[in-house]
Amino acid sequence: MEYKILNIDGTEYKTLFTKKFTNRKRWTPSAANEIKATIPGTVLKLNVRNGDKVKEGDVLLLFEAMKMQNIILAPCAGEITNLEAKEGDALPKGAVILTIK
Amino acid sequence: MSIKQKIENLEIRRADLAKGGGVKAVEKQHAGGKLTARERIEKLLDRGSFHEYDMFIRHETREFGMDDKTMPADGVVTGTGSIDGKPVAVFAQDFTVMGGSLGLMHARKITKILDYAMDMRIPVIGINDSGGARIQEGVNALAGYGEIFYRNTMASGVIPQISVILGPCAGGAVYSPALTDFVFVVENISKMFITGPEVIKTVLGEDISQEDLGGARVHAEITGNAHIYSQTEDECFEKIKNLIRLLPANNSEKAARIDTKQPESGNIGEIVPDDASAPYDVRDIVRAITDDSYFYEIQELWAANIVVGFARMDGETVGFIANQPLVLAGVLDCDSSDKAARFIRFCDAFNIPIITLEDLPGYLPGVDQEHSGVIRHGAKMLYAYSEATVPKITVILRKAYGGGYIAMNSRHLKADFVFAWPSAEIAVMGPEGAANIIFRKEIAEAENPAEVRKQKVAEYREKFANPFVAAGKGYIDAVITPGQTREFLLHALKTAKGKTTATPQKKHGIPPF
Repeated sequence: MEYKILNIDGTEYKTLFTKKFTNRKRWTPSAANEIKATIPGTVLKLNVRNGDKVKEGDVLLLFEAMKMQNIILAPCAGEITNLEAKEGDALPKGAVILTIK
Repeated sequence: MSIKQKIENLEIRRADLAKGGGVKAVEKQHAGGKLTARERIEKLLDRGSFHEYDMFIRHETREFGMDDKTMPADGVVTGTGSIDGKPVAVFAQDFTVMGGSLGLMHARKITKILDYAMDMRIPVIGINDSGGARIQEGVNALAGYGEIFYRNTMASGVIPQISVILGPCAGGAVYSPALTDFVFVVENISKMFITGPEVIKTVLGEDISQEDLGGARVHAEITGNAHIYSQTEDECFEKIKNLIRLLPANNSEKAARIDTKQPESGNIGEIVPDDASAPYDVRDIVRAITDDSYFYEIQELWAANIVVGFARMDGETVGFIANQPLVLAGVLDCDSSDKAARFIRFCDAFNIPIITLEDLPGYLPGVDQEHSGVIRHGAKMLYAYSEATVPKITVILRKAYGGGYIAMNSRHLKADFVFAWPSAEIAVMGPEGAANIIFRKEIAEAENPAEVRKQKVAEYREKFANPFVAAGKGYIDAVITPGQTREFLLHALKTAKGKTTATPQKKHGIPPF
């Protein structure tokens, strides 16, 4: 058993960590122009390619998760970049599908 | 047929049904390290005390070729017996009979024994080992689950309900154990999940084994769904018996008093280190206080930053709740608040006094905690302590900072007795943090900030990091030495025996679930 240091209000406590605490997900700010898979699923149909210009509200893709088709709309206008997924790809939760620049 | 022949005929029928799913299925069950339903009941109950009912139950399903299928006892063994002479109701699903699947009559047997347990006001122990709903019975299987859930809920807080997961328990079936008070799991045998690995793989593409998804260790350590973890079925049954010994049969009784001895440890004053940031195992303090130094810990592996469990004081059952400085410095967080709140409500429902040992630096900081709803979870603990009307006693061992001080059964939430050791520090926060805020300017402007900070920390510690400020307000009843703790607790418990509390008339409160 190896003690770690936990700082609470400026005091450093010697203590053991739980697995849950050690493995906790570090928070990172999410960019509004990143389209992510909010649940694991499959890219069913892609309406856009890298370089395409889209308007806010355009249909970007159909994403199938939990046997339901989700229509993913563009949250803002811009150019499609960073799109690597192909139709039929299964993506894990949190994966970035594309970015609107 | 003569009466003699009829009796022989009965014996043959009974022996036949007692074979369960047959020799092959039983062999398979044993090969998996599992006992059969009847073997389990025999091990759990006092020798020869089990009386089985509804052995001759038959299902009435006609579809899908079910009309010519006979299922001994419809896959579940039910009855009553005793543990240490105390009556208990039992049901055990029989995996050797069609995978222990739950159909209408199977469920009816369970609801019937739950109704018996409620009518007779005796504890009920359910052994789960079932592949799930008997699909051939369609909505009748679902109806069966729902009728069990309803009874579990009605029995909650009236009779102790124990669930033992000795095989698969998947889909809707998991919610009966989840509604009961204590869930026992066994390594490599228990499997609990809402959706199994196959469905998860198909729908979400995640590949995981049954064990990693919902094995015993997962529920004992990660989810908190299980309360008691064992390596083998035998160990599990011994632990169930020990729990039954600690509990009353119902909410209008007290747990039976037994003869006990003084605790073994005489060095209670040497367990807590002088340094307020150094760890120790708070369970050593518990065992230095309790009869026979006995402590029956609940949810040992989950949210280990708080310790909860049962012990005896002067032969009578009490519940202990203690911050654990050994793990995460004993902070409160989402899980530890949930764990403590549930335990408090169990104790309160079954007339078990609560002793709280306090040593915590406050709540765990972090985005994941805030976003996981530590406000809502933390509120459960405040609610549970405030609402509880059993005798509530607190001993502040060392740190009692900020919101944590309020939450850990403070005088302000209507603790009956609050004692503090001379090492207690009751303050809004630790001296380091407080000095940094109060003397920010002085420290920043000083020629030697580190020196001034050190001085100010010492000043704050001197002024507030003691029990006498709180004692001066009456928030603490007595400052006691570690060596006096057991005697003060015994006296307080004796004094509080006739405690009555007037609570406002209401249908029920609305705890922040």
